[in-house]
Amino acid sequence: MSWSLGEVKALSVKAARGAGLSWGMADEAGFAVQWLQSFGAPGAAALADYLDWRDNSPQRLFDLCPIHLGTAIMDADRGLPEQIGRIRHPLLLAPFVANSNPPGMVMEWPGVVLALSEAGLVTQSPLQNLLMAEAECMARPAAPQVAAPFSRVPETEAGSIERLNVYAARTYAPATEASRMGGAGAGITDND
Amino acid sequence: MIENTRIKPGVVTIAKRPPEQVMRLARMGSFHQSRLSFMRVLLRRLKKDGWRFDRPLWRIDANGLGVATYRARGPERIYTLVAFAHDLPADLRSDRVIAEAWDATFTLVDGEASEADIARLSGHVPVQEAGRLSEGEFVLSRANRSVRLFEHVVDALSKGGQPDPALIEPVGYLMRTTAVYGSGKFGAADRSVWADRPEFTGSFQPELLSVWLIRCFTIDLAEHMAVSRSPDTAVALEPSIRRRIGVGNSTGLGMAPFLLNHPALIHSWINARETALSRVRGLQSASAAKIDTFLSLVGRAAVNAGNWRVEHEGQARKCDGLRADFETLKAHLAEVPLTGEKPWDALYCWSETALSLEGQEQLVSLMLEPYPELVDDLAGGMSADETILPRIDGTRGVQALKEDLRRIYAWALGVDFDRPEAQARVWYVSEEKLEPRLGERFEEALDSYEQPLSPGRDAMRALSDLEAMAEPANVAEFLLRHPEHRHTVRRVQLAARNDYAEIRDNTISQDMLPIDLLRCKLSFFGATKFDPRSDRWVRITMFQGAPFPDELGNCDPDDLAYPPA
Repeated sequence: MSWSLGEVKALSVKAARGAGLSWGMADEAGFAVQWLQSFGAPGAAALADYLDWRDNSPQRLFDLCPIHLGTAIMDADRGLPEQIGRIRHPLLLAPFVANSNPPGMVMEWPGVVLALSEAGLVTQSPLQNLLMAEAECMARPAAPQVAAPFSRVPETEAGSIERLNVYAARTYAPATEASRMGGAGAGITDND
Repeated sequence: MIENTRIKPGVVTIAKRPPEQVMRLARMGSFHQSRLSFMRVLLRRLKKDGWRFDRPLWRIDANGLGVATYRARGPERIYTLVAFAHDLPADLRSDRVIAEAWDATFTLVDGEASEADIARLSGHVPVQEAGRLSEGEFVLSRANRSVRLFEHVVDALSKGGQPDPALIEPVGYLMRTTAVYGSGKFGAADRSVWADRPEFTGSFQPELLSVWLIRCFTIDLAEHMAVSRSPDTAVALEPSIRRRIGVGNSTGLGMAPFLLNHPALIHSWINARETALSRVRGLQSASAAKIDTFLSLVGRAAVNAGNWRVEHEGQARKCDGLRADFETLKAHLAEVPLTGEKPWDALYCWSETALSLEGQEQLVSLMLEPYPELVDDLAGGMSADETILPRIDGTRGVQALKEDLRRIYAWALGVDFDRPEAQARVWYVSEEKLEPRLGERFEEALDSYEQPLSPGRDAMRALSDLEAMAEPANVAEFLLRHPEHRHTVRRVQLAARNDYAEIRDNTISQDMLPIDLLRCKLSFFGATKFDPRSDRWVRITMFQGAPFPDELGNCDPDDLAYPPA
């Protein structure tokens, strides 16, 4: 069994919203996961890790947040400083760096080298390093590389999908009889 | 300000209708099918490209249970509809998302469907949302019988007779689909897998190919059951009666958010229709042949309006108005023939003073009919790649953002959103099979589950915070401070580039009718006979009158879009 990129993106948006991001930021989280998974990187797992951290972080440390930093970089269109500094779940920053100026970048943190561009993500780094919870990150311009696209989210992400489902469920209203009868405009027979 | 007008050499256009006029819910809820509707686009293409169809498998027993396949063969590729027929107890027959069993379930397979595919799909398709598809499937759907009509047809055929056209016409289908899922849903292939296949140019083509083949299945099933019931006397449906049977569809609130969640796509649809209208209105004169075509179709559309019967009070009133509009229109055309200068522009301008919104929008659709050469090419632009989230331009100044907010949401500037009636409704998703619903904000505790489907109110909130903030340098700085307005800013920037992307009405007010949203989308599909079952729920007929696969080569599908005179 595998998932379509579209359904994993939609799930990611709902999960991010369920964990408390604004709708607009949740859309960015969905974009980030879809972009990572479309190049075979574990975006769903990274988002699930990030939401766990965010959910348990009383101060909501936005200065360490990859999605807030990523959107700020993309919005301002000014490019990155070489020293990005400490950041949580740095893999989630990669899609924003890849889609900002300059067109080709290399992003690094201990044990990881990512070649990033709009054309994708290329890396030889091991999975556990890609999913590092927090790291000191660097970035520098580099020639863009072309990455192989992935059209599906593989079975191996089942656990991450399940974790995202738990957050997404927070956006669903509890079922009540009033809601069941009135909310969809029902109450008439369909057996005709 | 109106951009994206596709210039066609030699074609004079006049200004398109402004979004402030077009994008009102009452008008969108009065749209009718047209040459640009996706069902008609599909049938034109299938005919032009010489598609062939057959039924490789019919493994249905005497009780109507089993599996069948329908194969469509085009110039480059093959698609197969796999249909599972079930035994559904009457008390489980529900059109709602929360249903868990159906009379029939379907999937559209990319290529041939092998026995191994059918065996795998038989474990997933019948349970619909609870199953999983693969990248080799494009569509997931299900349908329930119109119990009365299905039984009437089977009974009549089994006795060697034909069903009564007077019973067929007002219903118009043997089965109604209650969901047609595509584009990556439940594991099916993402749109990007097939987006550049020429046979699927436009919108919802795999879904509508499925529905058109489902129509064949419903007829085959009824004829099969008639033979099973009485092998010695049963006959097949007469082709002329068969053609009056389409496929029903029952649509609830799940479709309403679609229009709000796909602004670029909606722009592409409405812009195509408005561009077509502006091209026709720009014509200096109309030839006698074009006038004849138009007058004939006015008569046939009037027949359609005459057959359109509904119980819903609001729609019944609109249908009465439409029938009266046809009388007014015919009288006007007798008095002011279309032989003058800019006849279509004159006729359209007259309609704004003389006809209801139903009548005006029906006229728009009819005016496009005689001019395939001006209209049909626009169908190719009726899609949008929404895979990539539209980028926010954070470098823009906040002054421009304020101006866009005040211009696009001008209607909302005068709305006091603190008044309960202005935000009486909440769009939300129930945990019950994730059914989309609409609640009463001040009666149910739903605020925290609200979906972002109130762009007008949200735009006013963003504007208020913008005005309160001491001169942010640019949009990026505003969003750093106010991430809660991010979805609004993205939307405004998109709507500033795409005139018809945004609805100019309050989607959470007390008097908002969700069926207006449904009607707009379904008219672009090509639906007829809109039959609201409540303010949130509508049944329609699709492909009624359209050719069947074995007729496609011999008739013009566009000529069959209106009933015979």
